[in-house]
Amino acid sequence: MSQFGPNARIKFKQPPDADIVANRVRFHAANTQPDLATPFDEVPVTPPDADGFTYITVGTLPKAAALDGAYDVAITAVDDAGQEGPFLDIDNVDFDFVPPGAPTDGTVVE
Amino acid sequence: MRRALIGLMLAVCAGIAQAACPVGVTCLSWQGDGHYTDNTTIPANFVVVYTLLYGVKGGPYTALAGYNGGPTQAMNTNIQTPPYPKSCFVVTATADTPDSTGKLSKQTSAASSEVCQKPPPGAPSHGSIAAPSDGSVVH
Repeated sequence: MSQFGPNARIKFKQPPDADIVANRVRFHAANTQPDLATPFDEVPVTPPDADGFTYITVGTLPKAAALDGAYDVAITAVDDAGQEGPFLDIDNVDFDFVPPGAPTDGTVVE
Repeated sequence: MRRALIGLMLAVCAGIAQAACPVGVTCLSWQGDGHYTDNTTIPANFVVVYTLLYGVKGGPYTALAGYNGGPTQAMNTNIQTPPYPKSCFVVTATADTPDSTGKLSKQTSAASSEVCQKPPPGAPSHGSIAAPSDGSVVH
């Protein structure tokens, strides 16, 4: 399974509703049910790319700052009345946002 | 929630039907914080009965909450709506005059306000995680 860093992007299509103003993104334990109670990042809707997909760069989401391991990514749409729709859940994504540790035992040798 | 109810107010699907207000009760209004409120001075000899009804527009309504207010001079009545209303609400207010035994026998007038909310959006679809470099897709 590939590991994704902060530059990875969440790719999805918006529902057909014309009144969507934002998406909410939640990260939760892999292969579990998404829960509205999970803290989320809210991203204002932007026009989709030419391929019809909406992209959100994972590293721009504050809740993703310390991701390390396998997570499900749950995405919802929010309309202009503040109503949140059902989840799109992307299962079992392996994130690694934690940089490696420092090398050790360093010396300079001839 | 505030946004939801503000949106609810804007998203009235069938208009707000209001009958004549009870004596001493100003017409009814939804507040942006999810409460249905009136602030009205009500004559001391009136009892106002509020009922929150919930159902599909045009269909039968089910009472969700009721509040018996007064007799009081300054009425501030809050009826909390459910968190995700999906159809319509009606709040009715009835003003009655108690007789000498306290029985409410003389209904004077009633007011109601119907507000309908549009359904929430659907779910996004075709979700995946894309690597930034080559656009390859996992899942």
